[in-house]
Amino acid sequence: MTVRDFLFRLDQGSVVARLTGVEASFLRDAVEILEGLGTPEEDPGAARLHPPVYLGDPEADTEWRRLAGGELRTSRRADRSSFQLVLDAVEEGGASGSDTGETTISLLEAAAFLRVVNEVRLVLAARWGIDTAEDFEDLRPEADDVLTFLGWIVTELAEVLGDALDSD
Amino acid sequence: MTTATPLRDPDIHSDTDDDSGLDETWKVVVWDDPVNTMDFVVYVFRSLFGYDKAKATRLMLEVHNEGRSVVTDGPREKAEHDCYRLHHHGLWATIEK
Repeated sequence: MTVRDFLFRLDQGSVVARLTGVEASFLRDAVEILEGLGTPEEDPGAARLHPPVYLGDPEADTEWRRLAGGELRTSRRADRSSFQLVLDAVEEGGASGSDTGETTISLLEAAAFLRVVNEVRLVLAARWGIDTAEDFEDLRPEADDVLTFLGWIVTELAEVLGDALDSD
Repeated sequence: MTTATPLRDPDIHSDTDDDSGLDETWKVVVWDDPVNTMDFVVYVFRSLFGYDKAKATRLMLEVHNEGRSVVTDGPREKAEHDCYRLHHHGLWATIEK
């Protein structure tokens, strides 16, 4: 396995993504948890993605959820569709096992990819009881590895998209 | 990928507000959470509101250190829209007068 020189990089207003097959397939599996979210009342992961907007005004908040909740779910589904297509393209581009594959995506696709990976991280952390920075210390090592890996993707992609804003 | 509409600085309040309530200014507050990374939060503030890196970083640090920060404001409809976009990006945002 060769050392990769980048995970994401800017290329003339687009983003080149380079993932291994293992990473792509891990991400594909991980995102399935977003398809199976419960209600915010029963699932801390769902509650994390649908936080209250009007603190101390349950009536206004219920109205908000009624109006915006469905739209938010629709936007997130669209993000996930785009995300899956990127993974397909990376695999078509040669990602298999420890071999990397590459694909070039738009800034909008990269932003959707970033949101999806971040959502997975937020949902897992909420379900694993992370309420404070100290709670990370009590995580099982495997769980910590998962959040670290997802956090790595978030950081790399946020940096590249930040660079794209700089070059506007 | 500039989605940003130039916004006025949240510290500067409009002097056109009257007492009818229609022009009331609502603040959009982002709360600290231990999971979103600092880099990601800075990116979100820049991307959504068109803030430069220095301003986005200052707001992110305020969230981190003070527990919350008013990141933008405006009429209720705009504040709700901004809040929606922040939620879409996984940030914990609320609205208040």
